Amino acid sequence: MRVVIVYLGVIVLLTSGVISLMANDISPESKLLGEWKEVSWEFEKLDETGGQEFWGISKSITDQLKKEISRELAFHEAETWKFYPDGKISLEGENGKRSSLFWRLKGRGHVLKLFGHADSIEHYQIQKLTEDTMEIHFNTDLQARGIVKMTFKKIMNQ
Amino acid sequence: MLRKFSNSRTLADNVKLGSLTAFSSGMVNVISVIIFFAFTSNVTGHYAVLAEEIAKGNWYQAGVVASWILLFFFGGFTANLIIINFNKTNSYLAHSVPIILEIICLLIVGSYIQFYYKESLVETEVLVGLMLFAMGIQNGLTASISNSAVKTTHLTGLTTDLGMLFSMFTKKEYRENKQLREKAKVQVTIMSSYLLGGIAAGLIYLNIAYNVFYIVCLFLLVVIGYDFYRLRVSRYVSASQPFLRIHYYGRNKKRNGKRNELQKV
Repeated sequence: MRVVIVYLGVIVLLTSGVISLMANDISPESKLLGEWKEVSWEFEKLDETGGQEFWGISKSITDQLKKEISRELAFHEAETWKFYPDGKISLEGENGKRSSLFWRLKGRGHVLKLFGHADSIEHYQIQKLTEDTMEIHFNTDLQARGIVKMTFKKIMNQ
Repeated sequence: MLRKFSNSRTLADNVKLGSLTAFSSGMVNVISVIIFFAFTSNVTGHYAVLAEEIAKGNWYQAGVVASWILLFFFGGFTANLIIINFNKTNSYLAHSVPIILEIICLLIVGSYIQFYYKESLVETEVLVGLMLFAMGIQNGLTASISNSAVKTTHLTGLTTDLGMLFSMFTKKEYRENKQLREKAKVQVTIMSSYLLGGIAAGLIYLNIAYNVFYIVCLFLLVVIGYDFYRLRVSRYVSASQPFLRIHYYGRNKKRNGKRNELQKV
């Protein structure tokens, strides 16, 4: 009987530990809802030797290169991403161009799935997601540089 | 495969059990990565992720990953609890019930994806948890009944063991050791089956999607059915052969009276 009580106690302790951890934070899905403004594009992995350049390739990405990289991607030229609770995402460009897609979170909330664009499904790694900042990583073979880091700031007046 | 326990198991028993269960766990792992972007047959990576999420202060994700690890733990716990409590009364049943539980978990996951899955994060977290529980059960069962010779859901320990074994095989005295050779056979079989299961799942997922879960269940049913069939055959043979029947009853202490009765006849 004593063993049963000890075991039940441990189970309750572990379960309450997990629940209290989750209760102290907001789910990534809720954090994601709202309007996000793209603030920077950078190469995440760059073999730096101290400065911002290596072999003549800059860590920051120019507008031209950005267009090249995102040419075939769902969020092409979009600068504001608006996530809705019903799983829809509205992408707005600087020129007022707007497109609507669908979003889902996968894994433990670390993978963003975008679909509804020309039958393609795209996955992006959410590296950082806080109340006001989001960092998305994805691979590109353009220039054979590897990972691109997109940083977003949340528009708080939403 | 399932009837025999610990040291009474033969190489063939372990190879059959290891290959079938490793194939199914390889399938489950690849499918979960494709559908949910999370590994479900091993927890080493989850420990690393848990530490990372705690360090980043992502408490929600840390809680999710911690619950996944706990579910794998409870899977092993449940499987072994069933075995140690019912092994003496009916070893086949004691070893089959954990597999039945695993099948139920995988059927729930497969059917849920087929009929209800809306790809919400909570659904993903719960389904991944259920799959980890199933894999914990499988790993607990195979490790328990084979005296830790067969572990089929992850390959870290197995790859280490294989590395050690192959280094030992550089010496003739170890190469000639039957036990070591048998161990290597079991490990290589598990490794290949796990890999094959993963490749098969990746390939057939393109055509049959979530139905892969039903195929995994089919493999697990073969594990249960094989021993059930063998039991039925051996009972039928011993019942129709008087000498074998005496031998069969002689093995069962509760039926010593029946044995004596048969001997008199």
